[in-house]
Amino acid sequence: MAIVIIRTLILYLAIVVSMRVMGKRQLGELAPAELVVAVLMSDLAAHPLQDLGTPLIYGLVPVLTLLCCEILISGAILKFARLRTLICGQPGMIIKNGRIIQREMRKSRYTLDELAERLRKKDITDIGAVRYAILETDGTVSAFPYPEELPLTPRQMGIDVSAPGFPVPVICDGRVIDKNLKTLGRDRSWLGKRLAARGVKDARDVFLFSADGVGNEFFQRKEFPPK
Amino acid sequence: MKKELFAAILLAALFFGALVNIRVLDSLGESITAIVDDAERAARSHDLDGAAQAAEDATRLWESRSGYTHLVLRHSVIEDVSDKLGDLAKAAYAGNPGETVGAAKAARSRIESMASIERVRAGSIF
Repeated sequence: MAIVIIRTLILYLAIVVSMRVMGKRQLGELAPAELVVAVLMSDLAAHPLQDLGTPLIYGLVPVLTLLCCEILISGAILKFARLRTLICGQPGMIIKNGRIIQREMRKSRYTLDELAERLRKKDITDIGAVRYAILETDGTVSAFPYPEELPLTPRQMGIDVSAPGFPVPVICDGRVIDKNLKTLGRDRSWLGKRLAARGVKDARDVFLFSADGVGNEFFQRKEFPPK
Repeated sequence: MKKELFAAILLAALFFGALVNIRVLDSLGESITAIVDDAERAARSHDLDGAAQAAEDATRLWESRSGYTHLVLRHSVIEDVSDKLGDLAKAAYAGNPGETVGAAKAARSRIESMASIERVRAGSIF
């Protein structure tokens, strides 16, 4: 068992370091340590399931060891900024004042194709429109276009727009959610009136009814109400 | 902070449990090896009834801990040790002193390897 724990710790550290060395482009939206835990846990848990001759403890102990590692490292990262830089890396500026920082691109092993792809996903087709772009530690790109490339806001156009409330579902598939009614500051008698105004007698006939507390509502009747 | 403390305690508990496991397996291995040694000595002095009795005792002791061994050892290892002890008893009952001594050596070697594989050493880790 001690061997299982030590091997798990060694594997954990080896994979965290490997992921860190490989760089940000290999990551999805997980931090390196999180990715390692995700990759290892699924595999470790599968072994005792596949091989009935392996005691369950051979799967449980490594999973618990990883859990401890993850909690301890994430806790230490919160406390020590340097450790965070060491394990998660630092965001890198890959476009500064409209100029692509080639040194940073090379350092992060990031290609122009990948940069263009990430920008397209943000509806930016022209790299020249980007003033700043930052490669985040989780591998995503944050892009900030030049002010003249940004869409106009109602404030810039001098248009007054009323702020909508936050819609919450009140009836979901025929079930009244009392907690959300309370959030809206309403009660069942108010709900009964709103349904009656739409010609509905029973909440069970409603598929979805949501309200935002400032008068906006969404209503849809069930297509096949239960008999 | 509570979570981190819990994780540190859990990790320490896992290591403690692992150390206890090493101790228990060592102790079980030593006890069975001592009985197997008795069987070997008996076989060398042509006391094959004594060797058979010792082999039966070793098997009984090994099986009495099956609840624990099934939790912490691979089932193939457990079966292998059982087979080696069975071979020892079979050789003693067959009345062949040479074969009994050989079977005792094989059983001792398997039991020692079962206990040593859990010990924390570079060879076991890598």
